[in-house]
Amino acid sequence: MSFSYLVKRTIQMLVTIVLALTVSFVLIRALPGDPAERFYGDPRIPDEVKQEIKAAFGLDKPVLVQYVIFLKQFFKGDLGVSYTYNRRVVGVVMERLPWTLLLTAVPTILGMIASLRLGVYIGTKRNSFVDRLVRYVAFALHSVPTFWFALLLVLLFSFKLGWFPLQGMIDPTAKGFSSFLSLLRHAFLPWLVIFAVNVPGFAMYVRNMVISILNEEFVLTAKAKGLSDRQIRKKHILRNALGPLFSMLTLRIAGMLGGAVLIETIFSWKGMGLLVLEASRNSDYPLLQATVIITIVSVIVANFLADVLQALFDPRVRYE
Amino acid sequence: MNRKRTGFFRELFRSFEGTVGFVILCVMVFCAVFAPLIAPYDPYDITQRSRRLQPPSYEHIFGTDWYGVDIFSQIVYGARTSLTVGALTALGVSVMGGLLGVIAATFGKGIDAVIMRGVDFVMVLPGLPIMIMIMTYLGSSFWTLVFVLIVFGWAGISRVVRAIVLSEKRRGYVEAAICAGASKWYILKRHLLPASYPVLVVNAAFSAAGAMLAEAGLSFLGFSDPRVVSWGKMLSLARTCNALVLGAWWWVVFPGLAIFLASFSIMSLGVAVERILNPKISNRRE
Repeated sequence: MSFSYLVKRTIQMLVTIVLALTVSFVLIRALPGDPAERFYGDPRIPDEVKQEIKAAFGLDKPVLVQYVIFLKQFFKGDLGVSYTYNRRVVGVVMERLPWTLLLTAVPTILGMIASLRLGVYIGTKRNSFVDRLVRYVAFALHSVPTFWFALLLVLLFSFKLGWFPLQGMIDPTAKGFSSFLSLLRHAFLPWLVIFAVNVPGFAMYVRNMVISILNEEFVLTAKAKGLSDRQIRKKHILRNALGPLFSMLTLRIAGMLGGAVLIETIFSWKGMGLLVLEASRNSDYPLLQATVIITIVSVIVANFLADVLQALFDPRVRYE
Repeated sequence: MNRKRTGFFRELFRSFEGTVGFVILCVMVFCAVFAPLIAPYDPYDITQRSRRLQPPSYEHIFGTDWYGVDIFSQIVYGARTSLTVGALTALGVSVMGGLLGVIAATFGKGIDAVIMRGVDFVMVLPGLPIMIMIMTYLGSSFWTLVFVLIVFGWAGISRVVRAIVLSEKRRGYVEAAICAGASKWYILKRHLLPASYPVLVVNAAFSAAGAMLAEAGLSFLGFSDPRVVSWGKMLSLARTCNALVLGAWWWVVFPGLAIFLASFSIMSLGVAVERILNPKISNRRE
């Protein structure tokens, strides 16, 4: 990976973040309703209170000035105060962010490793039974609502078999190492859902990559050199399929972090997704906006990291 | 014209996906259109508390829920919501995505750059939380839902349409038409747009399936039109009433199955149609 790639990609990320902030700013002001009324929670708000609120939030200033203040405050880490928590929203959101990352990142990384193995296997054994099975499952999975799949797993593993807890994150009575075990027990089912939903699709992607790599001349050269199938698979195929897998990942990150709302609801996992719902239900607008903005920024940063990783693994990657 | 159409259906029924997709979708559309005739009970009647939480039986083939409402009747009516959301979103996405793709390709330069950066931007947005935010502000109604689904759905197809129009523009027959004095508008209408129809049709199928799943997800989270029955809302109610604790598995299994079948049938149909319209793709995938 060249240094100039890193610089260009970093600038692109910053531009996208500013663009996202601009769109949120416009959206929040374009949506119906007076923000002061929303803050007060009652449209029959007295005029002097309205002026006071507007002054406190800088709403009486010209829109462009408001925009600059908004950007400045974002980069200072200030997105307002939550009505329900009576605290700075950034603090509230940042407490939740690691939980959502834990929920989504672990099964995604494991899923990538598993689908790399599976994809290479079915790619080299085309039209075998396993290949067909993965193909059909991957296709059918596009139509399975993830939250319904999660509900079915809860029905089976938590109710019928009683192997896993219904919901929550950690047993509050557990201490030390046993609280870690409790976390694993609670996280297992949501992890399983995300893992199972992603692996067939990822594996199909790797498989198609592998098939096109197999037609490359360097594979033929490797065979002519007398390398074994195992060596070719490891040195040439796996290595070349890894890079594109990261670009596949960038396409899925937004859906995965966004889709966490559903998984978190089913397992009462106190992450960003549940926070969005909570804020929406309580009409806690600053909290709602901040959670959404931070989710968007997380996606943009995650995409950046995936691209940089891809460039590390695949020296052919160039900017644009 | 007529012969061409029968040929299309013969080819459609030759493939497994085409047949299955077409049959299931027809059943669903039939259910949606004739819902009052098919549904044995009123899906809005919550006064029959005496027959609550009955497991599947001869009277209630899919059982009843906590309020004594027949699950099968709700599923029949739910087809209306799901299919209309799917169809309207697919239409909106095709029109908006197609138009923007064509505009980007024909005008080029600044307009092209703006639209394509817009595409990149929409594609990295986490849809669900933003949809929740918009629906919190605008209120959850049927049209708000369709609106947000279109806003988050147009990007992919506009990029594809743009690429098709760009490559078609350089083909010999288009250049010949230009030499023959055809106007820009005529070429667009007669040559460039028809070239992107196959992709638009297939993408419409995938958009419809995606929209149905998104509708189910949003309804499950409580963002649904309060006046209509929907499969996602049934699951949402099942969750808030603790259907799993009560052992009412039928309340969870059947609505989800309906969502799956609706999306699956359209996806299958899309794949089958894609193969007929563009034989090259199927060869590549095999």
